[in-house]
Amino acid sequence: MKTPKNALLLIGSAKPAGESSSEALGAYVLERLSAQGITTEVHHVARSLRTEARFQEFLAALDRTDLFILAFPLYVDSLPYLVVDALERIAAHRRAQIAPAQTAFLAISNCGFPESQHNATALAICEQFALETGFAWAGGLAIGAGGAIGGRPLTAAGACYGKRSRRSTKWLRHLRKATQPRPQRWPNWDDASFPLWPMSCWEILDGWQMHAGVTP
Amino acid sequence: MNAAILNGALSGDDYIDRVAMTLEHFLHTAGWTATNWTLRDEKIAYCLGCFECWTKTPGICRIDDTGCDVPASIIRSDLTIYLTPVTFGGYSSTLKKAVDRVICLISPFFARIDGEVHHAARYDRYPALLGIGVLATPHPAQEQVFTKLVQRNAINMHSPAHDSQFIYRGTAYAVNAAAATLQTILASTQRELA
Repeated sequence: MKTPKNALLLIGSAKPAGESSSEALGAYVLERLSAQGITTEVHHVARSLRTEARFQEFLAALDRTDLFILAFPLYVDSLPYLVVDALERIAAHRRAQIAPAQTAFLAISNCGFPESQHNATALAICEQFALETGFAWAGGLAIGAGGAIGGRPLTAAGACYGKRSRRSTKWLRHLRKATQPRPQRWPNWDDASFPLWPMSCWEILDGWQMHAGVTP
Repeated sequence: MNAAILNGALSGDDYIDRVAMTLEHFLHTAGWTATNWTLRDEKIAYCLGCFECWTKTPGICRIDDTGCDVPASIIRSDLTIYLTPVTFGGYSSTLKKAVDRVICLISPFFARIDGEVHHAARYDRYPALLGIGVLATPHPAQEQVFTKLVQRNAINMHSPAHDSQFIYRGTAYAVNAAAATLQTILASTQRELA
């Protein structure tokens, strides 16, 4: 697989811009790619699907890119509705093309459960999407306890986790390693998945208490 | 016995609509009361991921539309059927929009099931889950993913039994073949629930 010159990130969370863990994860990867001289752009699925004109803009950007990154939250063991809808429409678009570009596709799935293996089915669906639509499957990254990131920039969230667990810093290190400029290796991220347990339990509990209006 | 059929056919997919009607007919004949949801015709907004159905109004989504009626019909049923075109191994967007809204049926708290963390049950009983995937022709890789997805949904939904089956529309008598498959599926599900 050639080294990409540009990358497009599609954020699959329905949350407003700047508030989702999917965006934090995707932005971190883009930041690393950008540092390697790769041009990046970001699209939010809720915004891109709102009108046909916006979706056509997104498709045009997708046709130009070398690397398509999809970052999404796990909803009921698979991809959220908005992402499935987008993938169905991307598939229709590519089926109508005589020779769709051999764009690389990689997916980052995060779930609220501490164990990252809950994401396996969603990533398998992403792989099937790639095979069916002519994308070059570059692998999937499974993240457990995604809610613990809470939409914060990953470096800030990582620093916070670091106080509680060495495992979180190991996780950040692994993610950093996965985005090193080693084109022959970086697309295969399947080995980069492991849980954030147990420190994430506290983060999740804090999150629920805040949601419920309870002061921790 | 009550059944809820969630028909995830996309617009213009008459074949899956006929399968849903056949399924409903068989269920009625077998003495079931079936609710057949043609989801694409229903007003269902997508899940916002706000979790208010867990923390602010437990069990009820803040979006007041048919997306609230579908989970209510699921929890009242003995058998829930997800009928869908297999989409990259998963559910169609139409079905997924409704399925994303069923998280109100479980609790935000965690429980360990077979050593894995899942959400705890909110209710005393949950329906069995049957996933019926419709494909043009057999596709082992996608069928494997679909089967796993139904199995994972059944664990997270605390379903007492689950199964996944496939129907292929590639043959001239596909609906008749589907009908025979459906009868076998229902007989097996009834045995499972008995």
